[in-house]
Amino acid sequence: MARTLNSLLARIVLFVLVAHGILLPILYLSLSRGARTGGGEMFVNHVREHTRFIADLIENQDPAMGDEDLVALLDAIVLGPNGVFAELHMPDRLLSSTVLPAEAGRLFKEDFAFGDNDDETYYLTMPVNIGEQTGNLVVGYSEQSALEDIGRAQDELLLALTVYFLAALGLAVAMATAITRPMSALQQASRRVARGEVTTRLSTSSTIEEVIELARDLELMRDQLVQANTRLADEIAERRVLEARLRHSQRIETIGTMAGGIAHEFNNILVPITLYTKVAMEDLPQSSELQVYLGRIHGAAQRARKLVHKILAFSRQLEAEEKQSVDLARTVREAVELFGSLSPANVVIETRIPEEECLVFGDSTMLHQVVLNLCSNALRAIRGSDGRIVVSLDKQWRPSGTGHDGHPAIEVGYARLCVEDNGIGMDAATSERIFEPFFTTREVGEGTGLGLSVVHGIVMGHGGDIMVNSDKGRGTVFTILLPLLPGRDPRDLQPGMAPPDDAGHQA
Amino acid sequence: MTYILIIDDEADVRDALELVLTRAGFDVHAVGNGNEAIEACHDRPPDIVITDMIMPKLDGAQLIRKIKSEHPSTRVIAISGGGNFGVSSYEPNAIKTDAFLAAARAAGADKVLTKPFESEEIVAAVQALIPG
Repeated sequence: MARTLNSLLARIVLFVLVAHGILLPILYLSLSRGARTGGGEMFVNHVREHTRFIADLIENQDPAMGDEDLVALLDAIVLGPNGVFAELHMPDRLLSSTVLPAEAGRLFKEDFAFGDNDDETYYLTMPVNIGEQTGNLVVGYSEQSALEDIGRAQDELLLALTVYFLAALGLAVAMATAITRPMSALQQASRRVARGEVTTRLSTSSTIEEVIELARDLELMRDQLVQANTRLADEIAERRVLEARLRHSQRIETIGTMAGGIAHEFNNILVPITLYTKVAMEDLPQSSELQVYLGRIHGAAQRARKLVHKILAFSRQLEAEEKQSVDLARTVREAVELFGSLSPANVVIETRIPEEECLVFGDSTMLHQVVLNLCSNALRAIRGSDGRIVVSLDKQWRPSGTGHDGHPAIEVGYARLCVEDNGIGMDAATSERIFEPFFTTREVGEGTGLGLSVVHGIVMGHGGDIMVNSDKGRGTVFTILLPLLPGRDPRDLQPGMAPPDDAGHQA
Repeated sequence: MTYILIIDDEADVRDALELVLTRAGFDVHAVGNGNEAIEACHDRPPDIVITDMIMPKLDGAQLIRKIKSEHPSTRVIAISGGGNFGVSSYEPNAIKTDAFLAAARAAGADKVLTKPFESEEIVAAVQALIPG
């Protein structure tokens, strides 16, 4: 109820009602009084003129005329318009109209004001000179028709004011509706936006300037809201990706540290196994069947040694000691050539490597290892006869980090190495864990699950980044980014890039 | 006869090395930590020291420096299982397999060997260091 009363429509209607409720009665009363006064004056002037005219006739008549003629004139007054009473008071006689109503004489009052006394008769006395004598002509006129005229005028006035009032009310309602309808349409659209349907455009069909401006401002606000939302969502998504990668890196690092510790213990354990086995084999006669068993133990210990070596290769994160300016193009070309000579005939290896130098700061042996590991991983993913591995290398410029306060981020050059296969691919869960040490999809004994974690370690140790994109059943792309050297001389290194490792040079 | 002093905190490693080198014809004495090794050196300066790098109390690099300063003619072989345990005592930020061996070289070790190794390897390493 309060809401309805507070609505714009109700307010405007209420205002119109109150304003007219005060103004219209005043207007009506003053206009109606004017009509009555004007009507009365008109009536009085008219009857005065008429009486004067009869009085002139009486004065100008032949003195020889008899009283009959005077009575006839009085009758003319009574029979004339509105006449009700006529008498001629002479000093010597009283003449009355013969057509007077019986009670007219009794009714006569000295009443010279229009509309008074409720008798609806207006009396008038006018002096007349007949010969030497002076008399008074006393006439009465009915006020009824004049009063009726005034009443009609007042009725018409009332009707006109009522029509005016209704028209004003109707206009007010129409105006209020014209304002409120587009506003409530805007309001409903705003509500939809608030509920999350942010694509709902806020516009109005109204032609009222203020409503148009309001709609324009709201739309501007919505647009900025949508943009801010989009930016926020993008930033959150970007942050999630970064966080996921950070967690991933941290997990690999933790596992690497653990693996390194375990490897150290294992190496110590392998020492007595290796040495005692050898001693026992030396002591036993060659013909003893224990030689076979001890040989097995010795072989197993050697396999364990190799495995531990791989684990260590991963765990040391390959902080290359031999880092120097390396032409990645040449390293990749050589590695692919070596790999090509070892791979089966059913696989085509395609290279897209630029002729120009692609200098990075790193260890060429390790980078060589990266290419070999990625290629052999690709080869293992390929089933059937038409296998294809594409190794491509190019240079890319990417913003380093995010720009602040609208300043563009610094662009950093990267060498981008992609190894793509059309093999079996993998699902998201596998992609997620692919760089973890000991994670393998192969059968037990087919692989150690260290190849890709070594790749990851080398790339990280070179200040680079590695990404995997895989479609189950369609193939996989590994992308590696390594910071480019600005020039041939490593002293040209930009700040922020990995400095040469001094510790490595003292060895 | 060439006198070899073995230092390793792991009894299994120590005993196995002692056995192999004794059988190879060397005069071998084995101890479990650096302090015992210093005492043993005082008693009888060894021709060759074979020391582990990661040990409690006195670690490999410290031990090598001490022996080299007190007995300059003693040759040292450092052995290490690698990994990154206790690496901070050598190089704060390095996570390298052979950080220990690099530290050993820096401390003056004549030869470094990664664990595990074959008996032939350690015997060959010792023979290579025998003077003359």
